[in-house]
Amino acid sequence: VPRVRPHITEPYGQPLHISITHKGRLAAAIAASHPVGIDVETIEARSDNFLALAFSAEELELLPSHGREEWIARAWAAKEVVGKVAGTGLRANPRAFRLEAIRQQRICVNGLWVDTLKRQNEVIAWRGEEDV
Amino acid sequence: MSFTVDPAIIREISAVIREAVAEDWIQQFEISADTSFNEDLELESIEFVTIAAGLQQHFGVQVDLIGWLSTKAFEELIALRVGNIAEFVADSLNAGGRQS
Repeated sequence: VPRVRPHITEPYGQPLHISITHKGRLAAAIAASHPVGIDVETIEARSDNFLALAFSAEELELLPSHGREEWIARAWAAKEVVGKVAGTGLRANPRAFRLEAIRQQRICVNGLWVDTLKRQNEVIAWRGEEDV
Repeated sequence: MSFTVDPAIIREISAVIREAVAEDWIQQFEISADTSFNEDLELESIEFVTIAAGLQQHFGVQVDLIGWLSTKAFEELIALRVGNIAEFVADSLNAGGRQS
């Protein structure tokens, strides 16, 4: 279910896009002159039903089998990031945000590359550059 | 909005929601048929999907919740209340022979 995107309430003088996220004790934010997105998710076991709702069979095949729970969290967070860049959020439809490729720690969703990083039991995903 | 649904099904759904969200506030939060997933519970996408997966697991194959949700437009999904899910669960169980 979507969140309203954050609004800047005081004048700044030039175009500014922001994205914010928090989970547990970890919070992160990103800002740039173009649309950006950032998301934090917890690494934890997810049920088969969860996976069926969130990912297609093709997407699941892309995920490395080693560190499965970590990569599921990275992939979900990458979808959230692209939803935030689009300005809509996931619109309760994570499968509409399609995982297309994984290169090292970067994940491509709907043609946009997202950086991901594991930090203790959380993953952080973000897109700050316009062209990567 | 009013729902005519079996309170036992509301209790089952509430238990799945509390387990899926797993935070202190939800344990005290009064969940009824009128409770809105978006406005009252303010769920994140990942929590909503976790709840849907938990409900599918709880009610089993007789209730094709995942299939039913996949037919819903975005506007319908964000308007969903616990009672809407309870009605679908009750209809599915009755169709399959379980008395509710």
